[in-house]
Amino acid sequence: MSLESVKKSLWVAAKSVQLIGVLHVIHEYLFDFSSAVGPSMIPALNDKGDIVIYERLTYRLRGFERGEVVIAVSPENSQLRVCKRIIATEGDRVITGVSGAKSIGQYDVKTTTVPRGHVWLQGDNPLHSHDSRHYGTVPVGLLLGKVTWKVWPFYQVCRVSREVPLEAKASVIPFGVATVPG
Amino acid sequence: MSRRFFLRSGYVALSALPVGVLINDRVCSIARVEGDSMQPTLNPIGPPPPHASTPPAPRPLPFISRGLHRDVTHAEAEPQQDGPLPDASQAAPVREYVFVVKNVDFRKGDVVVMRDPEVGGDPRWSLRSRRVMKRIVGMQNDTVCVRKDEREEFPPIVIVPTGKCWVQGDNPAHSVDSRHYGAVPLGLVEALVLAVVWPPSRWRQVDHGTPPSLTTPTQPIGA
Repeated sequence: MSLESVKKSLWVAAKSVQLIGVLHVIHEYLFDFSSAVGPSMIPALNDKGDIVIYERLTYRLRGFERGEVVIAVSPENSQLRVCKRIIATEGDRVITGVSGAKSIGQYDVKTTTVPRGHVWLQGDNPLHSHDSRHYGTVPVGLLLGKVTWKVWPFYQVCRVSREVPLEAKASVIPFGVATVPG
Repeated sequence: MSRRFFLRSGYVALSALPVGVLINDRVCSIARVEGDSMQPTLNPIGPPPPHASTPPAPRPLPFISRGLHRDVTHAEAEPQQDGPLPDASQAAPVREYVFVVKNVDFRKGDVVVMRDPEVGGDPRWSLRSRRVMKRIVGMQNDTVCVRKDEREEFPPIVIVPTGKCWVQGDNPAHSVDSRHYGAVPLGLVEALVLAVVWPPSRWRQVDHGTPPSLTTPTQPIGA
């Protein structure tokens, strides 16, 4: 092996390490792709075969807001990623159960207050979603980024909406609202 | 000539930057220890604690999964401190810097860096960058005994849920930890603290095992 070929292979190795570094910076600080599997986000995302872009820049500047679809590390298994919608942020109260109508218009409403630095995640398809109703509030540190675009299948390319489904909206008492809506 | 030299060194620095970020995010890093929640293991007042008599168990290389079958023996636990901790007002502690590795499996007894599950206030730039240093006292399915005078809102015996861990500071009087916010998802735990590297006079390895302050050790179910 000549000196020239050693030099050349070293150069190739250095360049590939550099390429990996650049890709890491892009995926860690700008945006990343993810496949979304499962029925929990129907109708915003399909059951399977969807690829979404999630951007990782703006939450470092502005934080997360209600209605945004996020990719998060599952609180129950650090190897899994989940894709859900933020229904409530810190300070909001979420109605987790209504029990026993005492009389017309009078219910026992159980609410959970979202603590500091946490959010309440819920899928758009409540019947087929394993989310904060099961594992409780999620620390913001587990959120990886905001889903902005659905890029596959190609005939459904669109922005992912930030609209909270009505049903989920009705179960949240925003921060500062004192009374439970009747 | 000098202009060309500056251009060239600037180019080299720019092309090395992503590699540095990659190593810092995924391989190893240096972290500063803030506060006194991990005394006397980190940021001790006065001289650092003596080493445990037996050297710590050899630790596999990072990136290699340690598996679940390894169990920790507490034979190498640190000796108990005599008397109460020195008063914080006596001397300002030295701010220490520690060497941490990432992408490892965590086990019971590890001193770790994790994201604060309770960051509040202004949800801005600081949101993701606030980190705390704690010791993992119980992994998933372990039973943790919280001493009654310390607990705030949790029962004295806690079974850690799946995918979570129980963290505590070594200095229970000055630590906000799982006794306040409950078990923490493992996804928040980022890095393993290996050694103190700065200031040079404090070079030492960090012992992993039962914290000196925890008089009621944890035990797995069925033990």
